[in-house]
Amino acid sequence: MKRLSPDKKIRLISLSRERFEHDLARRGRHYDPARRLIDVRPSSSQKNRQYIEIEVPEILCLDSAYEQTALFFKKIRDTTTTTTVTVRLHFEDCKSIKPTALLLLLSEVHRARLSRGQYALTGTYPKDHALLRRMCATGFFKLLGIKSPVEAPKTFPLEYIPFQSSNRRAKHTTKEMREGLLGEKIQMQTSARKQLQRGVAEAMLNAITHAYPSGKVRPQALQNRWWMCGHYHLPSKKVWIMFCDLGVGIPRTLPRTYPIERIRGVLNILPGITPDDGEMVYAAMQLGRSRTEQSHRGKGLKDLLFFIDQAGAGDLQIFSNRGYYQYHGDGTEVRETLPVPIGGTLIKWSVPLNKIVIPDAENDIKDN
Amino acid sequence: MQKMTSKTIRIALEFSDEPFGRYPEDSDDNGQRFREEYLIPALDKYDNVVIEFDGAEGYGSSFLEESFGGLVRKHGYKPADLLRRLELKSEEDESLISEIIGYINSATPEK
Repeated sequence: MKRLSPDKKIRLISLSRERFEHDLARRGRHYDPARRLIDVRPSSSQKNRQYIEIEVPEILCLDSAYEQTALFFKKIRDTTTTTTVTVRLHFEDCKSIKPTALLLLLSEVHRARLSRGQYALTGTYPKDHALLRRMCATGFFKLLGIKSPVEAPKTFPLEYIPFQSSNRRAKHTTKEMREGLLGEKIQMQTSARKQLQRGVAEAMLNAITHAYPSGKVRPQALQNRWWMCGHYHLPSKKVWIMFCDLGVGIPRTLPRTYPIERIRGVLNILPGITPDDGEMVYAAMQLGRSRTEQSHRGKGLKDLLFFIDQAGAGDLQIFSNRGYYQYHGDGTEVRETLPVPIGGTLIKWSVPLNKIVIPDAENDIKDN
Repeated sequence: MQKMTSKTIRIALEFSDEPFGRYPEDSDDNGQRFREEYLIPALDKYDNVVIEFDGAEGYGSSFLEESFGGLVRKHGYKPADLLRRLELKSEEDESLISEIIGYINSATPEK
């Protein structure tokens, strides 16, 4: 075999590169020899695409920054439903998104994409690495069709697990979430498991039967849709289970089950006075628990409390439209009407992990 | 003396390990179906019916009320008769028994 001269070798390499670059250009790509990278040349439709830019607040939290958080979600909702331009969420300066706010963000983003397709909404990565890791773990970037840049650690209990969503009853959802969050070694007590299942099933049933106007939501994929996520809050060693729908809210659905006079009765308010959202959510919880209530419907809301009662600790929070209700493990209740509607119903159970797992399992709970 | 006949229904094994909702539009594992396809035939054929609740993921109020309260509301069974003939067993969650008794006692037949 004849050896090639150095000049000829260089000539052949150059020809080969020319052919390579020509082939790339034909496919709309180009080669950067300085960085030795192949860049995607944006298509004309992408180059000309307009965006509505929305800055994500530094903190999204329903407890410490409710109004700012709720207004942000309202902005996403209003923008994505009134324009065909792609909305771009800028997370660069966002430092903290609490789990409940993250679930609502997921649901609003998902709704936008289901309504208007993949170009409805996009986003940028946050600079805060811990926040980035959490968002990846919940499946947020996967939902946006963006590659998750980091992998979440696999130490159980997991801090976050991918969210779940459907617009019908999904069997074994609670079991999968529980096992996904806690792993194989950390087992939940049978009684806790059953009460959690009960609460989630009631929330799911409410979403698919009451929360949305029947047959009027478009597209069909959004009708009766719910979202759910789990979180292990390491500082307090509590398990958070969160469930939400983007329906009309308990304050609007309650009068379908109970006459207004009955609602006023349980609130001890005078005829002619319309209860506000906070009072409506509170009334719903009282009527659901009442053993003297004649109606056979509406009993399911008490199911939401059993997981907390069984643990004897922790709390249940319900945000529904502008109504807020909180139930503590010691039986005390809080109700409030908030300044801005949440745009649906969000339920959060928060229970100390050591109150719901089998005693031996506590040895397997590692501090991350 | 005629021997009393008895039938045992193990919900988790025979019906569903995750009962859900009241009606067919809620899910396939709904209270109406359990009542019509399992409870009613058993009550028609046997003197006593034993219901075992263990093994399922959990039972929501909607399912329980539709299954058992529905016997009174939809089919006109008398609560006292049902409570005499139904034996409810639940070792995993004993509170279910009193809850179901409450639904049976508070149900009123629909006109």
